[in-house]
Amino acid sequence: MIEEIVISALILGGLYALLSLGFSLITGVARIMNFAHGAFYMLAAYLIYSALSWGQGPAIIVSVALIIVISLVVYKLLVGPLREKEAEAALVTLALALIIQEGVKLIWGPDYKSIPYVITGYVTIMGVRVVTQKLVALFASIVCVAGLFLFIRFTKSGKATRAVTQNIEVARLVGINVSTVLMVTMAISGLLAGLAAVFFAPLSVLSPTEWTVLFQFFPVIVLGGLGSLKGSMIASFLIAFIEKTVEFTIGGGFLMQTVTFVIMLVVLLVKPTGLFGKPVMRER
Amino acid sequence: MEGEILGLIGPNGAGKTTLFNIITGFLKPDSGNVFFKGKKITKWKPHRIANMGLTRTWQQTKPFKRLLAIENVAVGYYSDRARSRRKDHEDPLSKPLEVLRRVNLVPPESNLFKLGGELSHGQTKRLDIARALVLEPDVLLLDEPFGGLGNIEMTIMTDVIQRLHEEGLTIVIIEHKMRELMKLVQRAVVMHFGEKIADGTPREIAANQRVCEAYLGREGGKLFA
Amino acid sequence: MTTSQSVLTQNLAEHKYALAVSIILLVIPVFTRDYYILSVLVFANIYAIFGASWDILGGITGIFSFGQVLFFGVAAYMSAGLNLFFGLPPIVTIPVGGAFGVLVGLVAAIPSLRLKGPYFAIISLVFPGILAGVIYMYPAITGGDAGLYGLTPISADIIVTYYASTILALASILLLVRLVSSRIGLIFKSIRDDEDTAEASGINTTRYKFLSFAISGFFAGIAGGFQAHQLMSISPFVFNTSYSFTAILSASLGGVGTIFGSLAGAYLTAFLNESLRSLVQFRVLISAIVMILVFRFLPEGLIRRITRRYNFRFGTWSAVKKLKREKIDATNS
Repeated sequence: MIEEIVISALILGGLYALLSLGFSLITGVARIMNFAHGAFYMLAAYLIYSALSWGQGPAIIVSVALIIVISLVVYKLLVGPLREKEAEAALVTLALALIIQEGVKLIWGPDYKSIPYVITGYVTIMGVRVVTQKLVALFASIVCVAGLFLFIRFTKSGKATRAVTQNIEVARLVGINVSTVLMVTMAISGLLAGLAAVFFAPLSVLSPTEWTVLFQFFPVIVLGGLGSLKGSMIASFLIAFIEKTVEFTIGGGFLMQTVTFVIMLVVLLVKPTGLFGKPVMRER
Repeated sequence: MEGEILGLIGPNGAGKTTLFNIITGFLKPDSGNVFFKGKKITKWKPHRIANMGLTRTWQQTKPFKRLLAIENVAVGYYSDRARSRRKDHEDPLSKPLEVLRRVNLVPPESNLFKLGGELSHGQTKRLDIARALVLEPDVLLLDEPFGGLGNIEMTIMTDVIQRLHEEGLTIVIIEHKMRELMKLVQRAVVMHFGEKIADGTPREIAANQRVCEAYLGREGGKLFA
Repeated sequence: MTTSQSVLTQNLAEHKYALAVSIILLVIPVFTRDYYILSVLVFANIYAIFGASWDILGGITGIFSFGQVLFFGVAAYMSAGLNLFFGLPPIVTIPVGGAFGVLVGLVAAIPSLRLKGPYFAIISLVFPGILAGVIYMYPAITGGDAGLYGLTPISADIIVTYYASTILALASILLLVRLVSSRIGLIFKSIRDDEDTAEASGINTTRYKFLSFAISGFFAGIAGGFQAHQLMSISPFVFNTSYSFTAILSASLGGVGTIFGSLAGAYLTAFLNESLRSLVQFRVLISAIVMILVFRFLPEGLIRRITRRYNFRFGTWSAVKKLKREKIDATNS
């Protein structure tokens, strides 16, 4: 049973990592909570579904590209102008998520759909039969995370991004084109959401309320610390591990969610910054 | 010491505002304690400390932007401390008005109805002081009251602070504008990198080599001591 | 004229808009007895109270919650339970629902003490969902998926129900407006504008935040209880985010921070919902789009836009209003 827990936790952790990384990026750089992030993930999956008639490969490429474009458009039109007003921006992204939910319901219908695996077949690891797709998903997630880290650490744009996260005013003063950084970040976030859809969405069912996966990874964000990429990473796997342990030992469904939410609450009350995060409490 | 005006100076980053924050409860110290009127107030919440008679102003102004000037001051009037000192059936605006007069914001009565965010910089700074005064404090901590002020404003501010001192208020001032500060202050403490490095009258401070070093570097220190 | 007479006419003059609106609302049943129209208006009144409850917490105290429906839903379930299992009439269950709203509000206040705005918003978003989950887990008591039904209606006569809802809405909004112009409202606003400065002024912000949550919870609870009886049923769907949305939309359309704007905003929202009745699948979609448009292009809300022309500064502390009147009258006369 332990093997099952470990493997399924790793995979779930991979999903959380991809999603929370995209979310944290925006929060850190644009200082806005993009409540529609989960919705972008869902939308990307639906796009793949529709584009399947062009073949799986093209479908994936087109959908991911489209999601990136959509992220940028959303940013330009809605989020950018509201950047100074955090409350309104958050509300707007929430409204956006609802719009996407309803839009998806209208266009594709409320019933469950699914998209095919990228790779079919099984593999046996440590005596557990694992769907190959899951391993591919995990692998993809690791690659993305690693890629992101390399980008942030070593490229010029990555450093510019880090600068903006730390102090947007000074970044502007030293000549960093902040708008470009924001757009690039938004694009990367869209890319991550799209890739998450490509690899992980086939593993579960597709429905218009799927964007609420956002709520599922809030505990990850909180535990890891808002705005901290490293934190999101580590917390993803921790939370996934806890969820799976609960699922396999006590029982699944709502109980796992409740446990992680309780953890989230406890973290917020005890150490609101999370493990590595920027201050979540009011200054002072 | 009670009744005196004390200056707190030091180069940027020395920790002066941080000290104010710790004293008034906005920051928790890693170690050590703060005492006021014989009580240990280290972990107290800011409002409790304010209600004990220890108030402060802000280095960067933080008025209630969407409230009128008189409302800004009136908020403090509903603190426990102001409430306990109230005379029966007193008009709730009389104290705020009085305090606004003391900081010279009121002779143009139109100022009363300007929004906190509409006042000029100098006016906002004095509003901040008025806000603290409405609590009838024993001690007032002023954080860079002259910051960003023009000459006329500085004169008004000096006047206000002088008068407050004459009324018996104990005041501690963080300031960088030495000329203005030294006019007001009888004694000053110098901080550098979080430590106290000097304590004395303005003249003594100016002659202190370590102080000059802190501001001007080692060479400067030797030059000016 | 004697002083008391002039004060009275002055008060009336100031409140003429409120009076006009109240009279119009109260007189509507004279013109139409149509069941459909009146029941839509009943919902409008419910949204008005709900929106105002959000506004007092968000627009006045500065704590924006995305899960206002938490108070609403818990109160609704409690009212339903009391009605179904103990046979208590709506006139009892609704206020008791309000009381439960207060309790939930106080609990919800706790995380807000430690968290900055957006982070609290996340929590508030997620909590109703947890409650819905809890409800699913105990279908025996809560009716699970299907919910509870068969509650006593407010009244058999829609006109009576309409009047009940209108009076409740007007009274609630009036109370809240009085609250906002009082010293408590002043303190709430100071917390909104700058919590640190409020603390530095000797205000125990924690105490007042709890108060604001309690008040917000109470009115949301009243709205919830009333709706449960109006619909004569309650289901876990009430905890859906789109419901909290209705409160926020009502308040924002009218103008965040105005309280009475929720009345207009709610009526607009109800009108919007009903005109999309045939296109029910578009309802949430269009509401969300409207919300985004409002925030993007008319952030102060419809009502504020209108009242701005009359130089109406809403919510000034009443003592200051009096002072201003004295000073201005003094210079003018």
